[in-house]
Amino acid sequence: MTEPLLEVRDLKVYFSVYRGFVQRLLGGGDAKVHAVDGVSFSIAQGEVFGLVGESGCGKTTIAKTLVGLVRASSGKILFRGEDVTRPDRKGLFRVRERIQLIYQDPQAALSPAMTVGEAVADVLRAHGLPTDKGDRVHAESEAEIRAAVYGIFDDVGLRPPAFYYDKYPDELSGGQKQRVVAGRVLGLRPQLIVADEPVAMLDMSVRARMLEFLMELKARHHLTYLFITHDLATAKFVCDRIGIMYLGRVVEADRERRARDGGRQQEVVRLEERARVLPPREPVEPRQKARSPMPCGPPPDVVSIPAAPPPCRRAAGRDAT
Amino acid sequence: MTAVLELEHLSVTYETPQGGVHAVQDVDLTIASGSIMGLVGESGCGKSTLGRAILRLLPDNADMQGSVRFAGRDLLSLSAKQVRDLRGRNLAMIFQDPMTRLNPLMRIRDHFIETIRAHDPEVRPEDALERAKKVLADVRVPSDRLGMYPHELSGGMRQRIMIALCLLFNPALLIADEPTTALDVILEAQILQLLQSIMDEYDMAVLLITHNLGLVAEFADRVAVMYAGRIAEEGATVPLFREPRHPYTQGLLRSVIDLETTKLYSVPGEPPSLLGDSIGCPFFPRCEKRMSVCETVFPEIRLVGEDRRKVACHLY
Repeated sequence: MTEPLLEVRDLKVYFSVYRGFVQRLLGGGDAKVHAVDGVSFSIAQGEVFGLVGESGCGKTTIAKTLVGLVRASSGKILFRGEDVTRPDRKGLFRVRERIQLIYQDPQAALSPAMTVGEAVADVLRAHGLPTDKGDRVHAESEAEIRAAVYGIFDDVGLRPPAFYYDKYPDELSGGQKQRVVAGRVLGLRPQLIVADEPVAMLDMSVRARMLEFLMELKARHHLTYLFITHDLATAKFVCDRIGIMYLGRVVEADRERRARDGGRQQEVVRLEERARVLPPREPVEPRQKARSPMPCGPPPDVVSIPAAPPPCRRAAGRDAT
Repeated sequence: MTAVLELEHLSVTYETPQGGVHAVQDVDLTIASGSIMGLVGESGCGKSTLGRAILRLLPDNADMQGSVRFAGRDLLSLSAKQVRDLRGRNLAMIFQDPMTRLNPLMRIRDHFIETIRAHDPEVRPEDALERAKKVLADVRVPSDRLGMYPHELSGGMRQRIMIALCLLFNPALLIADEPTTALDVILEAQILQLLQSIMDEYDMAVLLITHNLGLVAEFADRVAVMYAGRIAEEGATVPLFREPRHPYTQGLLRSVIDLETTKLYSVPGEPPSLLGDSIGCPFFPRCEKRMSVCETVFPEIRLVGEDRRKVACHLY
């Protein structure tokens, strides 16, 4: 069996929550947010692996931990067998040449004070230009850097590249900005790209194009994706395998497998409900529609995680009132 | 049917150094009291401009024509002071990003006190707080949140607080501009179901502005589809989704990804520039069903079918 590209073993990421002085005296110590509470999964080379869950379930924390923006509390992250769980400064630099992140909000990912050409050039100056041999060399001249950026823009469909080089982020549409972000990421020739809600902030009409674009890039550059989203429908379409997360844990992985007790995890059912909305299939009266039963309350508190899922109308079955 | 809002020939043009940008063109729209009207379209189609035009929240370079009748009065003919009185009281608006709409330096209770006293300066803080607690209960936010700062609350909770602030004066119409785009799908459902439940109690109508067709399909009574500043199609939700008539609406519905999607589709091409005058149908370059008349003659809205759908298309 070939070694997986990425392996995550029993990853835990806990954040301390500052509590007031008196509370600490009485309660003893800080409370901890169990953002990621023992997650294990692996991703094979060339795969698209999805992590799906509602906000607060820990998926973005996993993304940040993989690229070193957040430190793991315990557990292991292995990249091609190499332990990259808690890299030092130099190690971090190298991790980021192999694992890159595309964010949800392309506006926030780009500096408003730099042209998009400069944003990509900056990365190439810091890390060097990729060579055919797979290593990197520092550019001899600015002209060389600019040419490399033009090549990248051409690759991501921003044509003509010279036109886009001098644009500022606010002069571009959401889809164009996301392409710049993708280009900046590709400049490093990463092997694994973590895409955190890459289309959530784009119009429905543009999403299809962006998803196709991401899949094209994957094919052309032999990439592997960790695709993070709350939209089960999109995940189902683009991912080879999906892990569903809830409260810091993966509650269902490899969607072909069902939980051993035969029932579907509530979280999965909830996400499926939301992914099935369009179009209405039966004629319904306005506002007397058979609404999907209300998911039980706001997302639960990740500090004091209940031992058992809270009692819920839905647990009693769809027909119960 | 009582109409809470009637837009007639509403146009909004932004004056720019390059010329006039026609963000909204000749829009007629009627919202029945107590109903949800969904207004959908891509980014840049004019839906947000329309929402803000109703409340006269547009920048100085925006020129508005036509009429906006609310409770029998034309809002465009009112003075700035009169509009300020109405705004936040009888007509309220919530926006996309609850993170940036609340003052990070003020506790939640001070948001309520400030809003109440902006319209009723005589009210005592204690009474204002009582009113705050009532609306918070309606949006299912525990009153212990009143002492907190916005950053201590989740996105979903902040959006509920925004809604509560709007409810204080029992508005007849709430304009919600992408209220759930920044929230995940579960929260989205909760917020919309919450809005539905309070609409009945407050006898409030909602104009739901969004690019999310699924949301509109599930919650709106009627839907208006906007393209390039104009209404392309409008009608009751269920018939419109079951049988969309305008080619743009058909294209939009095809591009939605749901669990049954097997192939990705997007409407080819880009929306047109809104700068300067245009002739013919704005959707002409991208339309699969275009005819020669579409290039030169603008299709006025016509009523089609049993459900009296409004469609701006020469096919009918």
